[in-house]
Amino acid sequence: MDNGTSNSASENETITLKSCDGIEFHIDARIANRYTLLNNWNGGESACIPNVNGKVLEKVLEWCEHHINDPQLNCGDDDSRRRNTIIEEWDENFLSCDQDMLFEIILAANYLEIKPLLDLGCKTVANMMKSKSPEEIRSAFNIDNDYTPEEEEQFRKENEWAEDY
Amino acid sequence: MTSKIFMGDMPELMEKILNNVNNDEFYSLYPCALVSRHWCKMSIPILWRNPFLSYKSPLFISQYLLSLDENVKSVLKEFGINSEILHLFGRNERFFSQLKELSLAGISGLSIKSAIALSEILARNTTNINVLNISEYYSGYGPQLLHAIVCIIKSQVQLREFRLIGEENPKEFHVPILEKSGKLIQRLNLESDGGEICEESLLLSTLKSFCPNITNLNISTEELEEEEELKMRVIQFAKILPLTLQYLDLRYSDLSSYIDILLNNCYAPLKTLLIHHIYDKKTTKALIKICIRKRTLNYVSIDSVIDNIEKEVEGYYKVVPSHRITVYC
Repeated sequence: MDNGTSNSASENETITLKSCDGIEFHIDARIANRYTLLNNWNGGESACIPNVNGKVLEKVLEWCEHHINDPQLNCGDDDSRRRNTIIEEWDENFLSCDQDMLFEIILAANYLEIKPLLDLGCKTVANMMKSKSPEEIRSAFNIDNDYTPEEEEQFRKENEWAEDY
Repeated sequence: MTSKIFMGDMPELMEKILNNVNNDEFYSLYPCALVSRHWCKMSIPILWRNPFLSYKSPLFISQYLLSLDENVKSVLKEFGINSEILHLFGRNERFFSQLKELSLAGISGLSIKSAIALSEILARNTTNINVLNISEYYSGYGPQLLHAIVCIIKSQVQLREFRLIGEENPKEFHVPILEKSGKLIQRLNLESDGGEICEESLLLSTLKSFCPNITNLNISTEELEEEEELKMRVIQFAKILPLTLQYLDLRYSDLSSYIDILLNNCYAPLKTLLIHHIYDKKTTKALIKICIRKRTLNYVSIDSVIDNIEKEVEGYYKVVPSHRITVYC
């Protein structure tokens, strides 16, 4: 809310956004008004959102549309360590997509500065890591282990206090 | 394919994800740090952010002792140290040098000797802390611990957030920190359980001289009985508020009794203001006036909601109950 000006779009007003691969989306103008960057790409023949393809933009806009009436309490705090990790059922289902898409949504939300969606994506990935061993995490996210056995042993020793017991 | 978030291209996003892991399951960070070198680099500062917070790991000291080899244990015994292992942490410079956030919240759970030892180690080995949180400090701990904590404060060169919360807030803590790191500090929380900040006038003048970039301020102030004196202080306080300040929490401050005077004398571009409640028409009017004058105020958060208030201020700012404001200063 910007002293009563930012939510001025009416329910019937629409704007046009274009993904980087040229797919056009006609969306409720109130969505764009909530997220400054989306609004920046409103209209214009050649105006398109770089870095976000149509498939990902469609998902992002689907999320925005579902949450159009959520209260906006984004008061500048982007500090995720102070928030809880509870995810609502709709959001959980929404992000039950394949992993590549999940990361693309996170990157798009970060790029488009849609903080609630970014938080949600990060929470979802965090939940995927919980209660997993290092090997399971490597396998889940396709990470190579570049530790030498000596380094790994040294690390385990120095941080044993933090291990679950 | 591995996401670029985990390959080191987007460290801020990886940090955000790991912070979420830390929120619920502290112990899940340990396997994360063992995944790869990059994951280790990202996880360690979070894992070590506050290892002394008892609810996270009440048995970690004994676990740590058990993990030491016999040579180290015998050295400890030579020094007469069996359960006091904090001196040993001095050897773990690699971790201390990576600390970005430090909370001394659990210090009251340690013996004075351990607390001093730990503080001296921290003062020697940490310089890059961004967020420093000191709470539960009491003057009964004595001058040696006070000095050690002041040394931690003085060794920092990258401090952005400082929180000092407790029954006693000695000026030896907040004055050096504001003088040394004032220009860098963006978030400041000086809150006393007893509702008072020691040497408040000194604090206000230090704030004015050294802290031009604060965006978030939460401060509890001394209770004054003299009405005129309080009004004067409200004006003084309003005028020292930095021109960068966006978030101000006065719910626990006596100054909020004269919030209308404060707002009429305030030039800070406030976006969010937290007060106990909107006292009267004068306050509503002052809030509307600052909205028109500064055009920045979006949210006024109050503890107790008054009927019809939302209608009256509609179009200027949004009134929300304080529990819905999530900014943590």
